[in-house]
Amino acid sequence: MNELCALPPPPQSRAWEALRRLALSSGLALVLVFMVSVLVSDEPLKAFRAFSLGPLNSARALATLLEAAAPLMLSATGALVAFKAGHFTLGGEGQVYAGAFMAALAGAWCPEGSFGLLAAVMAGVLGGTLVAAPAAAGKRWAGADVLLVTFLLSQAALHVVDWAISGPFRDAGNNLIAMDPIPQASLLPRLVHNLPLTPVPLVAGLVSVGVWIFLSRTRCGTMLALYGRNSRFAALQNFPVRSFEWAPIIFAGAMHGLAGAALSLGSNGTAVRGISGGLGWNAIGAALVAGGEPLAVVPAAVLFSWLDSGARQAAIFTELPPDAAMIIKALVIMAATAKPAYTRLKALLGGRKRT
Amino acid sequence: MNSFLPEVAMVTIAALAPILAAALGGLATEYVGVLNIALEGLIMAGGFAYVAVGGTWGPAAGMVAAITVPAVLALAQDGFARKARADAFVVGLAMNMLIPGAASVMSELIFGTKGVVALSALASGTLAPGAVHVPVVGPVLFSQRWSDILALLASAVVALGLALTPFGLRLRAAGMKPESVELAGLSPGRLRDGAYALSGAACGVAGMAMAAAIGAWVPNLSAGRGWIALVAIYLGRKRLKGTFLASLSFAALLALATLAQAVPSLPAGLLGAVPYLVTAVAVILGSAARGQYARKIKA
Amino acid sequence: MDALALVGIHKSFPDTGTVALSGADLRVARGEIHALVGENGAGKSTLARIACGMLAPDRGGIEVRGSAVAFRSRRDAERAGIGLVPQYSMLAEGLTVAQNISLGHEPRRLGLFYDSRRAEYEAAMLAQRYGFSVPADAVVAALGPSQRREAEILRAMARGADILVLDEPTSILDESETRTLFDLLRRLRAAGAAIVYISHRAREILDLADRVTVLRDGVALTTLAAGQLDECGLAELIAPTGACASGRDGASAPGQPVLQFLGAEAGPLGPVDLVVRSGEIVGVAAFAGNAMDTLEDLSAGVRLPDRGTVAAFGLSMDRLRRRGHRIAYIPTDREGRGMSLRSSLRDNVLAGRLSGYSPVEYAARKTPHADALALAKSMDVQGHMAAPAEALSGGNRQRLVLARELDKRPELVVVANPSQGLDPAARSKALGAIRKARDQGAAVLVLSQDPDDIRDLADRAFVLYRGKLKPIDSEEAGGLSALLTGART
Repeated sequence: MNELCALPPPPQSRAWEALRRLALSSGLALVLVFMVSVLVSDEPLKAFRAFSLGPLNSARALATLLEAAAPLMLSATGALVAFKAGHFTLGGEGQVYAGAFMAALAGAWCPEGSFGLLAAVMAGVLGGTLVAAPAAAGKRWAGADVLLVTFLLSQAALHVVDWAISGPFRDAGNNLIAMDPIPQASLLPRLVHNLPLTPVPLVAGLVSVGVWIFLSRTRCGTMLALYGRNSRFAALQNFPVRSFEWAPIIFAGAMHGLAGAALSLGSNGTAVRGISGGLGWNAIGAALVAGGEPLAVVPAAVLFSWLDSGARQAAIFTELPPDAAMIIKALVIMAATAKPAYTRLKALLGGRKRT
Repeated sequence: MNSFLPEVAMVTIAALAPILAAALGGLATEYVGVLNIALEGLIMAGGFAYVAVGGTWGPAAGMVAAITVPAVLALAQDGFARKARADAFVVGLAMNMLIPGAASVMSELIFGTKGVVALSALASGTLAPGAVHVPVVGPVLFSQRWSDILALLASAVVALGLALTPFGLRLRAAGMKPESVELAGLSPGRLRDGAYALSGAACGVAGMAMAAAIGAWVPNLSAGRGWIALVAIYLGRKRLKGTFLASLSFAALLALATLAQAVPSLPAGLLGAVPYLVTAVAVILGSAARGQYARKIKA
Repeated sequence: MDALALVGIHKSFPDTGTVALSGADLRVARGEIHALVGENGAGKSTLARIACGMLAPDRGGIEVRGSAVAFRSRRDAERAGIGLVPQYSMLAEGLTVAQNISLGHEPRRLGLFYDSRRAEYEAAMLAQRYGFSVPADAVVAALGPSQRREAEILRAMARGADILVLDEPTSILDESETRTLFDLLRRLRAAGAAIVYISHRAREILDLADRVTVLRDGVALTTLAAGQLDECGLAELIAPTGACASGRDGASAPGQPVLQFLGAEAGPLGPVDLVVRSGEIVGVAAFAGNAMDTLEDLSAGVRLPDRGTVAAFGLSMDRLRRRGHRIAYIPTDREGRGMSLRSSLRDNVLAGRLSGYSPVEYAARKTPHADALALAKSMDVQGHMAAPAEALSGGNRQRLVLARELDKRPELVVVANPSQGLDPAARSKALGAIRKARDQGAAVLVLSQDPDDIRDLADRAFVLYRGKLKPIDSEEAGGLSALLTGART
């Protein structure tokens, strides 16, 4: 038999696939925003305008959007590496929170200035790593289920940090439940005068490029991806599977910690109670929408922040509830994970019955 | 000290009700070989449906809604995953985001607040308030809320269904080898749908119990019970008896943490972390013990 | 009137882009054993699944006892009296035989609860009627291959099927078990059943079948009376290669000991002493089962012995992997151990030689890509480099694993069931590649359920019997089979 005829069409390149996915996700998000506006608001057009264009209508709004997306990029990139390695870490939330806490602690205690900033960033990374570490060690030494252990540790961390921020480390002079303020000189510098733009988006972009190079252009990255899909096979091929068992979990923890540090050292100026605000869960969502493509994490994170900030804008001008953004994000994640629509369409048009 | 043990038993049973219902529901999908990560969200859906429907039409209607709404949601979740050939795990994660978002929006539309909705009519009474003074059995059993007893009864029904009916047998067969049920003229997909619907309904009962316990809808009503149920399934090695025992240990842990908060010298905020830490350690140690044998066979 | 007729069946799978059947015909009469033969990928199993209602054809008609039917589900076909004994086990491993047989038609107590006692009674009665030894209350996971096969047949017959489709039923049976199966099939034929017998073993077919339909490229090439054919002619019809006779060539020049078993014991495997030297192929014929799996695990270093030692290059297997020795392992569990199904074909091919590239060379992608193409081509792996490996057919997967592992210029080769999923032409190419590795100085250990593999490859041969190795004379192929059979009984 002429076997070449039997081959499926060549798959699209991964970059193209990721782009298509993102375009579809964004389009779907717009449609959903419109539907929610019509369903929930008395002034659907006004709500839709505020929702969709509000986050984009000025340089300041754009900078805010990018700034809000940056921690999400960092944590989503971390989650993506862990997912690539086949580890479903669900502990992002607690890791971010711990990172924010540790960064605020170091920022307030260390001498102010760039050393304080550096120390705070390192402390943040350490905080996220510490929360992830028992899960990594449990996987490495005992083969413990990563999904469960990361989640449990994260929950514990949330309780502990909550207690710390509202108890022993609380700044009594603040109306918010928050820690002592970090000195201005130790906070992240602004790149452009008058715009809330720090180096974090740049760093986040660089991290995702670095991860992209690692996964697609290095031998170790290829090994990691093979390990993530069949660890037994990877072990038999003599790959360094022992390291793959823990390192991606630690990396994810470090990235979440870094994201937490960015939260504390940015406009908040310290760690506020509940500062992680769903970042860990959003990161998983953004990583899933990016479909395992590190570069796609950047636009995916921007898409998510746009929805969050749009919903907040719309809530100011209309009675649209800001939590509508959560619904839209959830639906976008579901749609992005569905198999490409066009193959299904082709199968339908071809009149073939699928079984 | 004389009243300590009965008190622990009482609080444990109350804590067990939602966890056990959700865990057994999750076990149904484990039987067909899929992890329903959305238990947490489904519990929330059940609690919200109970308050939203019960607030207008009374607790009985609320209960019906608490069972059907999450069941339909879980069915839709599985239907989408199968029809769109999406990853069941990812769809479940999205459900955990979708349901709280939807509940918050609907709460604002129906009750005008996205915060606490307290409806005293929906709070569950206790089983037999008059019999509380009967020694031991009185406080342990008769002072339980009827909503919790209902959830325990529902758990028993689910357990019986899984263990003793052809349906349970088919679910297990589908999980072990989908072709075996296919060859028997059954549809593995339909069975999976059934398992999901059952998990939704069971989680709905759990949510109802949690909402009825406080007579209110609060954001984050489920408070991690769905996740704890998943852990219980895992620690119970996906078996009925094991899942029950793990749920019971959890409930006892939570009960102890709750009771300990009454001790003034202990930091109440930190105690919340204890059950999670203890469980994390239990998962790791349990895997280590199992690992001694498994490593020999593992590549 | 035909008991079962499939006319002009078309079936393609848009997901993978494969056209499995393009107008296939099959007509089976009452009281007939009808063999359906063809190469791997010719569409035999697809046709079987369509006949049993597990797959809907794109086009084409099905007639049962002269009247046209359209199976909307497996249940419709079951009602029409069509039973299937599938190629790969479709039994739920953790359930009992009775539970498996009763699935979908479970006896109930109080209309609600599963009545396990009655299910077991019914299954036991059924087994008794066909003279089977499989216990109804045993969990499938605890059964040996022949009892599993019996359970599969009982399930197919439980609803009173009189049209029976058997897909490669002897692939896991030894000769005496095969004879028992054949006796049963002849009895069923005498009772008027129509039997479709799918196989690629020419000898069996000539022994058993009344008529033979040859399937090639998704169409029925021809239907012949079995009496018109001889073994070679049939093999030629299945796959026209001109290479009907296969044989051994080259000679061994054993050198240093490479793989050594010293009193190694593990699970069902008794103390084993074995030395495999460089430049020789040692063959072990075995039946599928625990002992064979254990021997494979020990040889590949997946498992360590409970007692005794297994060493390669003088090192215990757990220390070995880090020392950079080149070891090729071609496992029985191809999908679980031999490849990463959801990774691309390219990554699967390159997995074996990743460490050979410099970082710059690998990042530039050009050389590795060219290598992957060349390597896939060397073993005729058909597929797109960027597509996930799960799109590959079984034969392509086996060729992929062989190509990658033998490309490592191995010093030690551990092969289990080298020819699984391969048609005759691909098989002889694969065996040639293994011999080439031997000629280049590798120590080769071949484990196989197929005595032919051992006959064609081994310089020294053993049979694995009750967990122990017995040396045999590999030159006598007939003697080998006899020994295997004898060893079993």
